[in-house]
Amino acid sequence: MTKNLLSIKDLSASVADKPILHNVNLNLEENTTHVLMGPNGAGKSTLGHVIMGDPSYSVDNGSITFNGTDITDLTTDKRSLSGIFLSFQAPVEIPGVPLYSFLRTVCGLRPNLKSSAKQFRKRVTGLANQLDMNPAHLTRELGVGFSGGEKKKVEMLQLLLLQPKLAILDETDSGLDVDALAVVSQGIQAYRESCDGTLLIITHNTRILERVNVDKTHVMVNGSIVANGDAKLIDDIDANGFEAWEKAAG
Amino acid sequence: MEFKHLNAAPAQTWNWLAINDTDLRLPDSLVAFLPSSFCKAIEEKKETPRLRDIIEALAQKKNTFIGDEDSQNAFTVLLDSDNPAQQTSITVKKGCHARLSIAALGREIDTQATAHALTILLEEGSSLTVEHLVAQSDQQMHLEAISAALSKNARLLPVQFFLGSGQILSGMDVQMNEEGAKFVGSVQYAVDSDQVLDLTYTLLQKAPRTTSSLQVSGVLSDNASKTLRATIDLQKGCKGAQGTENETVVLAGDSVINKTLPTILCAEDDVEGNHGATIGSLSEEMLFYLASRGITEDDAATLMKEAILDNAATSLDAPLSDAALSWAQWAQGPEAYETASSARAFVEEV
Repeated sequence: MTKNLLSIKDLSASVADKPILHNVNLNLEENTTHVLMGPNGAGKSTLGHVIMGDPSYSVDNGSITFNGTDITDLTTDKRSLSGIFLSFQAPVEIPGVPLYSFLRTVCGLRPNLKSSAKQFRKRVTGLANQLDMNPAHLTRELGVGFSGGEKKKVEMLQLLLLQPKLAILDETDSGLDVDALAVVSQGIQAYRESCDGTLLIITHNTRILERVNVDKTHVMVNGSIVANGDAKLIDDIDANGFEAWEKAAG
Repeated sequence: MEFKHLNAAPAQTWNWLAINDTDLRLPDSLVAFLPSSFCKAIEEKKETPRLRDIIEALAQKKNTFIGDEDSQNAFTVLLDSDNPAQQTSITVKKGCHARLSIAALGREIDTQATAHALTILLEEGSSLTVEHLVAQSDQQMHLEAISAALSKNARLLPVQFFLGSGQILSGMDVQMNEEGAKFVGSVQYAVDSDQVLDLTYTLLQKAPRTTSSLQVSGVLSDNASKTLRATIDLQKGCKGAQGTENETVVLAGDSVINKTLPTILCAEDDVEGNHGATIGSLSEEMLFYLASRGITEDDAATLMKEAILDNAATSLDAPLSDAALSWAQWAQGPEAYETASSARAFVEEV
């Protein structure tokens, strides 16, 4: 029997007293790929942020269990160190901090990723090459002056470097051209091949899923999960959109 | 011995802001170098000397460098316990390029203050890169006064890293006297414990199409205090001139003191003056991003400080980057040394 890695029960969340998520129930099994789809404003990104523990949101009800531990009240940094990763839709810029220094710090916080300086250099350079990224970009300030595609590559680089148990990709495909999309897909495949991690891909675009083996698909409308299915559900969404679910949800 | 109204901004603001200038209590380790004639002259004239006057009076060693076609044009000034007070003059001849490295260094147990006065003369079409590193103990003080005069199309490119010292007073006056002269300055600092950093930059653009760009960034933590007076003076006759000053300050603590007096003076039309500043704690968005990678708010301040050390190790030339690494070893610990060394090795590889 497949074990649940993440279990969300009756989760309701709000921002500034405005309810966004309503009684969300979702189970993500170990070593599986899930897709969360839905129209703009459905609450998909909110769910990703709430799983990561974004303090901007309040959990009003329900629980989140990760790897057998209730993490509902855990701080974001501890969730990260326990193995949850969120790839941001719009990664931030942090002036003054070279990307290389940032990556080294992030790895240094994880006992299983500590390595000699030489090994670390070899690893990040190898990953950059794998993602068709100029290693010299690692000396630039985090996010500063990076194009949208380059920022997403940096997110993929972190995904492959950290090899989290659970990776949530929040609209990683948004704003990318065909080449950048291919690199992101390549990063997703490399992640699935390199570790037994679980993926939750949040998107409203099926293009990124063309090269990904999807196990389960979930549809969110108005802050609620309204449909669950396998990969075939994606074809249905591709053909008919979300209209029927939106109408049903009122 | 005490001196008042040093490092003054050319255009003053309200006194109650306590930012127009600064006072200095000269430590005994430097007072010993002051000639009695200088002290007597001050007493008699009842005048307040400038920072440069004090340092020139203190200077025990005088360096004269010429950057020309015949020399390698790489010069170094080392300020330490053996030579704590020096005066340097550098001229870069027409069309030549030179590099000057200035290091004010110390060890954990050092208390000796250091002082340096630098005069720069750049002839037509010449350029000078000035690398400046202050990496001392909390018991030390460093005084620096830099004056530069730039001829037609000359370029002055200072890169300053203030990594540590109990107190730093640094003033830089740059006169862009002829058409096309250019100043591009980069300043980075990490100030913590009870350290005090006091910086004044006065960039006088006197001629057409002169350009100045000053980027200052740093991290303040613990009870640290930083004052920056940055003035771009677009004087009459500098048509087509551009001046930009930018500041980024991360305030990593509730007890830090940060003061900034950015000024753009303009006496000419058809000029451009820009000022930008990002000052404060890291935004919630940044903190969430960092936390999502396992970095707490406290870790974030450390990351920012380490990044400045990494930048010093990777962007300065060998003698100074070696000195920055050596400082990291004794001031920040073996781990900081390892990480900065690793950053340098990575940059060399790529």
